[in-house]
Order: sequence, then C-alpha cells, then structure tokens
Amino acid sequence: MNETLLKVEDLRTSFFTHLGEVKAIRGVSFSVRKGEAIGIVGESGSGKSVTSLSIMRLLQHPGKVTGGSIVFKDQEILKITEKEMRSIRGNEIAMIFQDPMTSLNPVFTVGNQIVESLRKHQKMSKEEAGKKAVDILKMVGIPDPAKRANNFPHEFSGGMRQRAMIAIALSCQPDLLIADEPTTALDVTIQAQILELMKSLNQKLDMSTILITHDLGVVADVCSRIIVMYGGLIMEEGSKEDIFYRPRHPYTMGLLKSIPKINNEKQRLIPITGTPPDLLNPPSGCPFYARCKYAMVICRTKQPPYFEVDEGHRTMCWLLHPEAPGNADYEAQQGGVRSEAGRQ
Amino acid sequence: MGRYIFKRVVSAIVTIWFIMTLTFVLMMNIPGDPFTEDKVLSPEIKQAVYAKYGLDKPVFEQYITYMTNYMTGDFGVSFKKVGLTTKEIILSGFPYSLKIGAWASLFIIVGGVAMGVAAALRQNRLTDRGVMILSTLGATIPSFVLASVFLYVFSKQLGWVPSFGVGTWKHYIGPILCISAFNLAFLARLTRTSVLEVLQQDYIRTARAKGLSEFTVVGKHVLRNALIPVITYIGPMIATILTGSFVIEKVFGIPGIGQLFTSSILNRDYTLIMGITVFFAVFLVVLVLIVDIIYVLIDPRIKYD
Amino acid sequence: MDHNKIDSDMWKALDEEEKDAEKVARPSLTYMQDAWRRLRKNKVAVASLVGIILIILSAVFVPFVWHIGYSEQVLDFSNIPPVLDIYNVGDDKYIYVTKEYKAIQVDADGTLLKKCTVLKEDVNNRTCLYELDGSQITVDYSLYFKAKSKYADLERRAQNDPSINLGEALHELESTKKCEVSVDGRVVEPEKQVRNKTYIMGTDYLGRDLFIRVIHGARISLLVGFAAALVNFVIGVFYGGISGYFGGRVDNVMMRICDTIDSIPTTLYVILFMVVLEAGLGTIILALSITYWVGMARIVRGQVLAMKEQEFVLAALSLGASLPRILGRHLVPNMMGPIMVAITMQIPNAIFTEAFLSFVGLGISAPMASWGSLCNDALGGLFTYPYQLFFPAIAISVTMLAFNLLGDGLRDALDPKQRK
Repeated sequence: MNETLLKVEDLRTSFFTHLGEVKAIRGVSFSVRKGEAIGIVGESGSGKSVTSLSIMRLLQHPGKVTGGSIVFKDQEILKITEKEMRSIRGNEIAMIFQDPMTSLNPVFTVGNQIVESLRKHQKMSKEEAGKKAVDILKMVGIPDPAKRANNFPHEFSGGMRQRAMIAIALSCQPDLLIADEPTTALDVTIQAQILELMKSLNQKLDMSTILITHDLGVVADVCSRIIVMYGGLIMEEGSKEDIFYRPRHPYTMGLLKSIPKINNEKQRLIPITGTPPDLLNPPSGCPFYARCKYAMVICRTKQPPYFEVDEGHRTMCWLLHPEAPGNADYEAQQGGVRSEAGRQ
Repeated sequence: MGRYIFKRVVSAIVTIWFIMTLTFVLMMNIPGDPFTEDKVLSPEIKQAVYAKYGLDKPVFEQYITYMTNYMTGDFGVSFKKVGLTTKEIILSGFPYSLKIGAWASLFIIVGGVAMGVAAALRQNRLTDRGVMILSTLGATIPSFVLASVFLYVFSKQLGWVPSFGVGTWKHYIGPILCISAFNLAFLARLTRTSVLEVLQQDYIRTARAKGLSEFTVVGKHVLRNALIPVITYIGPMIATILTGSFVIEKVFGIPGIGQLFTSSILNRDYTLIMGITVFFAVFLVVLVLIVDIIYVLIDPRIKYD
Repeated sequence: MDHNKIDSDMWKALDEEEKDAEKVARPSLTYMQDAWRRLRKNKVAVASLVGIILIILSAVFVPFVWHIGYSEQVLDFSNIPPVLDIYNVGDDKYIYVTKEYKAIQVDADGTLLKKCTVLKEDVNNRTCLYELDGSQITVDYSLYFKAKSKYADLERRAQNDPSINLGEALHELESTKKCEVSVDGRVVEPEKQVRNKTYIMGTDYLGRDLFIRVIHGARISLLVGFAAALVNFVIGVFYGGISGYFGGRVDNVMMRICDTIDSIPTTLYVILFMVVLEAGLGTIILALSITYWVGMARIVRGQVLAMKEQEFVLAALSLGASLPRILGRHLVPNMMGPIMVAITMQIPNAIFTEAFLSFVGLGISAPMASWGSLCNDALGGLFTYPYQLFFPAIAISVTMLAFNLLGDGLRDALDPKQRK
C-alpha cells in the first residue's frame, strides 16, 4: 500500500497574460500513494485548481507548465505525447469538477456521456457500455438508473448531476481521482451525501483521491493527508492530525480559526485580514508575510525553506528556523489551537 | 412534442393573419389609387373600373373578400399588367429568386460555419484575423455597393461574367456572391463567437478530461452546442436573402420577385404589392416554423410547453 | 536553501507599513473610467471614433464654406470626372474632351473654364467641330466606332471560321483610341493628366458637384441614423422598461407582440410604410423607428428583469426603498453599456436601410441627395463614369465600417468578460 502512484516535483505553472506572466504555481512537490486520499486546501487563487489541471494536462491557453515533473506510475506525464496522455485521461486519472450544473453537456443524455468514456477506453460495444453505464449509475446511488440514463442533464437535480459526474469519472475505474471542489456548488445536506459516497467508493475501489477544496471541514472527513497551499506554494503538509491538531504555519492556524467549531459557542471567528499576493509580481519572500502577524524582516526578502516538523509534516515558515527568536504569542497560539482542537 | 408543434403552428397562423391584416390596412391607406395617374377617367368608367376590382365596396367587406380569396389561393388580378393574375406574376419571378436564394443559403451555411469554426479554433492567429477582417468588410459594405463593384470589375474590366440578365450559370455568380456576403460574414462571426463560448464551457473540459480526442471534442461536443444559436439565425437569414435581393436583382437585372416587388410599388400595382408581401410573409413564417421545430429536436433543454 | 548563519537583523519583526511596501498601488476606477481606458487602448476603435467625428464635422460645416450648392446644376459641365486628360491646343490653352465628346476649355492646373462653342456636329461621320479663340478643334470619334464594327463583323465570322484569331482582334480594338483630337488640322495627343480643380470629385449627369452632394448625403444619412437610433432608444427604453418593471402577464403580452413583430419581414414593411406615408426624410425616420425598436426593448427588458432579481435590489426593497428609485439609481448606470453598444450598432443599420431605400428609389427625392440615391444615380452610367459610384460608395462603406468597429470596440470595453 505504500507504493507511490503520483509524484509531483517542483511543478511550476504560469499564465502568460497580456499583463505579463502570472506565476500561478511556483514550485510544488508532493506525492500520492496508492489508495491514499489527500486533500489540497487553500483559498481561491492559491494554485490548487491549477495544480490539478496541470496534472491532467488540461491547462487552457495561456496557461503553461514551465518546469518540474509529474510522474504517474513511473511515467513522466509532462513528456508523453498528447495521444498517450489521452489514454490516461478519463481512464487512469479521472477528474470531477466543481459545478455539476455546467460540467455535463446539456445536449447529450447522461447515459451517453458515460458510454462515451467506456467506449473510448474499454473498447466496449454500444450495448455493453450501455449496460455498464446503468450499473455505474446504480453504484453512485441514482434511483431507477436504467430510466435515468436516458435523461438529459437538465432533468437531474444538482446532487444527482454530481453523482452522474462521479459516475463518468469512475466509469473506467481510474487509479487516481482528482475532485476539484466537488461539493462547493451543492447544498449542505447534499454535500454530506456526496462526500459519503466518495469516501465509500474510495475504499471500495481502492483508488487514490486528490480532493481539492477551500473547505477544511470537507477534507477532514475524507482525507488522511492534507496539503495547505497559498500563493502558488505549499505552506504546510502533514497528516490530518498534524494539520488540525499541530499546525505550525501561521496561515494554517489562521485557516483553522476562521472556521466555526460546533463545540465552542463563545469563540469568535477570526478572519485572516488582507488579500492574497499578486502573482504577477510574486513576493520574493514568503507569500503570506503581508498578512502574517508574526512577520519578520527575513520573511519579506527570502522565501523560507521547508522545515521538517515530524515525519511527513513539513512547514514553510521562518519561525521554525533554529536561529529564529522565539515568539511567545506564536508558541501560545500553537498550544491554543492544539488544545482547542484536541477537545474535538 | 406534438403539443409544442401544434402551438407553434397556431402561433404561425396568428402571425400570418396579423401580417395579412397589416398589409391590408396599409394598402387601404395608400394615398391615391392605381388609377389616379391615368388620364382623367369619366365618372362612369371610373365607377365601372372600381366595381370591377371591388373598390366601391365598404372597407370591411373588401377585407373579408381579400381574406377569403387569399385563403383559397386567389391572389387577384394585377392592376397594371393586364390579363395576368398576381399568382402568375409571382410564380414567374419566384424561380429566379429561389434559385439564387437557395444557392446563396447553401454557400452561406457551409462557408459561414466552416469559417467561423476555423477562426474560433485558431483564435487570434492568422486564420482568425483573416476571417474577422473579411467578415467585418462583408458586414459593413452595403450589398448594392458590392454588386456594383463586382459588375465593374468582373464584367466591365475583366469581362469574365455577363453583366445583365439570367441566361447562363455565369449570370448567377455575381448575384449569389453579393447576396451571400453580408450573411456569410454575419454567420461566420456568429459561429465563431458561439464556438468560442462553448469552448469555455465546463462540459468541454469534462469531455477533454475523459480523454476524448480533440476531433471528437470539437466535432461532437462543441459543434452540437455551438450550432444551436446558428440554427435560429438561419430562418430569418433566408428572409434577409429574399429581401436583400431587391437590390441585387435590380443591379444584375434579374426578373425575380424582388424586382417585381420594387416595380409593383413604383407602379402602384396594389394587388401585386399585396400578393408579394403576403407571399413573402407566409414563406418566411413557414421557414421560421421549420427552424423552430428543428431547434427543439437539437436542443433538449427547450421545454415543450 | 542555505542554512548558514542568518543576519540577526533579519529576525526583527516587520512593521505593519512595510508589509504593504510591495503592494502595487493600482488606482481604482469607476466602471465608465475603466471602460474609457480600455476603449482608448483599442486603436481601431479610437481611429473609428475620430473618423466618425470628422465625418460629422464635415457634414455639418463644409456646406457653409463650399463654393457650390448641392443642387446647383451646370449642364455644360455634366459628367466631368475628377481627373482630366487635357490637350494643349496652343497658346497655353487646354481642353478636355468628355466621354460624350464635348470639348471643354480648362486651365493648365485643371480649373474648368467653359464649354467650347460648337461649330458643326456631324453625327453621320462621327465628328464634331469646336471653336476656341479662333482655332478650330475637331473631335473625331469614328475610329473606335469603326474598329468596333470591324470586330463585331470578325466575331460573327469567327463562329464559322475557326482560323480567325479573335483575341488578337480584341487586343487591337482595345488599343484603339476612343477619339482623335486635332487643332486646325494638326492631331494632338493628351498632354497631361490634371486633377479637376473646380469639382474635386467630378460632376453628375446634371453637372452637379459630386463632392458637395456626397457631403450633403452625409448630412442626410447621419441625420437619419442618429434620429432613428434616438427614437428607437426612447421607444425601446419605455417599452422594455414597462415590460420588465411590471413583469408577469404584462411582460408576457408585450413580449409576444415583440415576437410577432420580429417574425414579420421588416424591410418589406419599411418599404410599405414608405409607400403609404409619402416619401420624405421624416417618413424614412418614422418607418425605421416603427420597426427597429424591438431589439432595444429586449435589451432594456432583460436588464430590468435581471436587475429585479439581484440580491442587493431585494435587500434594498426589504429595507423600504421603492423600486423606481432603485431602478433609477442602479439600473440606468448598469444599462448604459449594452444600450450604448446597441445604439452604435443601430446607427449604421439605419444609415444602411436609408441608403437601401434610396437605392431602390423609395427614399428621399431629388434634388436632395443621400448616399443611396447617389449610388442609384451612378448605377446607370457605371461602366462609363465609375467615379460617380466610387465616392458615395466609399463614403457609405467607410462610415458603416467606422460605426461597426466603434461598436465592437465599445462592446469589448464595456463588457470585459467577453474580452480574450
């Protein structure tokens, strides 16, 4: 189970707009093991969606991967031909998108859109694929699947459409599923259902999952490992427990404080003030320094390296440098977050 | 589906009724009558002539006669072309207009869609720039200017095509090209915009994420969606082709229905004006109806209510 | 990353002000400022705008300063092109021979002086004798005619005799001079080409100055364009505003009416209106206004409806603000964009329709001129006097192009979402 399925190393992606080069990802490295579910968390513009599109090689003009490597099953994805990539897309790596309302083609039936994938990758006959599509629709919990397969997307509700999207993604039993904000556009109750479905399918089908979201609550439920991104960089990476109970990056701490906790009625939600950095002229130091309470002179000038906090837990913050002077408030906050979270 | 078509047919009939009534009201209000230009007629003759054409009856009675006659396909006789019925005159001119219109429509639909798709797929590159420049020119140069320039260059200077009339297939090149220009330009732009918009849609990203080839993505997922607005344009487009032909038929000397219409107006040939207007309108409404029905077959989102 | 010793200064806390140091100060702009900034960057749109302003200015002011009126006729100087091939007839006197073989005395620099006196016109021999200050000028146009009949004869025979080389004969015909001019028996060749100084764009078949007529056409066309767009705007805003504001059944009925109007062939009815209402400028504007407001009404209605559903409007409503007040505060500025684009696109449409009507013979009547009627007048003599079509055709095409490009530019500027 410890076999590495996907290894992303020093990935850099830019958008070449008429204003200049927007460096959306500026050196991102992580890996996904077989059967593992990891979460990528960050606010909009942090580079999380661009990361997933880079892996899928679905970046649209003017986006372009400018450096790094993506190795999937010992194969360098950035070097293979478009044709080879097409046989991976939808087959070995599948993707679910944010808005189920717009992600299905309105003029084809839902069944047709599942069949398309099956026929392309599994070389099934029309009848076989049709039967399989009904099976998959049943698996993702669509009632009366044989009839529903002949419906058009607009005849489905939002939650049903996301189930259909999942059915399309899972149709060829991919090794890796990338879900980009799969629940953001849905009602809270439907969200829970979809997450539950994803969790059960993840276990049942033994596939790896990358769940991309801005919602820490969503990843807590599904993922075992969490990556926190900000300004095109990974700020902190660790196990679910590391991130929730032992966060070491001020940004992660800020994120945790900005989400409501059900067990502590009196606690105020503390927003992270300020706005994300302008990636057209990314700061030379830490991208978060301008919004960071503990910012030091070095934070502005020099990008911090990763500090290994624990095994599998790394943080990009100068505060962890051995020479850094202790910051009482920071230490206290850590404890605070830890103890609060610990009570959960 | 059947209900939808029924509703559309009913609304088409209402539109035709509205058009016929509007035409009747307008014709009733034209100052003077077809005989005012003739030599002064003696009161008796005038009365006899009026009686012959039913012009002495009360307006409402004339309206009823007009409606029932049209219902039975009787468009009346021409005031000015003695001995000919309006229907005969229309049927003599229509084949020329139809021939030009049909070829032009084919040219526009095939050419416009191809140009638009090509431009959208190569956005901001040479093909796109070329198509955009052509379509901007096509959309801004009036057809009569284009037709005159065509005649001067290809007929006078180069002598490649004859200048006037309908003898050979060469006579039709100019009219077809000049009638097509505007709509070709418009359709190319419309298709380009539509394809570009569809290319931005999430479901195209989904299709790509399935690993489909670019050919399938464009040929199946993009085109099917992008052509929906294009199809709605085609019905009314045939209208512009037929009405645009007034000018083209005049410049190229084609005895088509457009030419008949302009001359009938200058001659104040009431029955002919009325006949052609109603003919045009019915033709159009039927075309639009057909397009509407095709439309629901293509776009499942249309509710049949 | 080097983990060597780091300067202790680096560990000092960063001031709040310093945190903002790298923030790029981007001035915040209002919607209109932003749109204007984007429009200015679009060179094509700016050039179009400048072009339109120039056309408007010349349409308004040139007639006041030009030395010829638009309806002034000089029949002696009919169908004179803007560029003249002139013959030197001695004593630094020059003549120009028209396509109708009339001799006209001109200056060396191209100013028309007078028509030469006709002494004798011999139609049978295709010669014409003129007198100019004592010298006799003969214009012999029989040569080309003879060559032409010879060619026609050859062409007839060629149908039976394949050995006849028609191409060569045609070449010979084309190289034949159209006419021969001789002064007191001495054949002269055209000495030089000069620009027509009196009529810079030449004259029409009645000897009217084409330049001032094109300018006058601009007046008519622009007047029709702006007036029709204005009337459409007013009707559209009222109709669409009422339809969208009341919504429900009112909206339903009003939009059904629009649908019906949409489905009738408008050009046809504009023509019928022209017949019913008697030709004239006001009629054209009225006819265009009756039929073309539907598009504007739809835009306004769409905006009002969309606006009503916006949450801030609901919020304002629930706080007790009245709907008309909200619409006035928010709707008008929001609609400015699409309406401005629609108007810019409607003006060339109206100009085109007017030109179309005049071209068919239903527009404004002589001696007034519009670009369409000028083109119509030129059509008959197209092969002989192409310049008569050229100038009004260029004028209308350039104007249409400028308005369309400006409209495109405005749309791009006002709707940044559509921009790539």
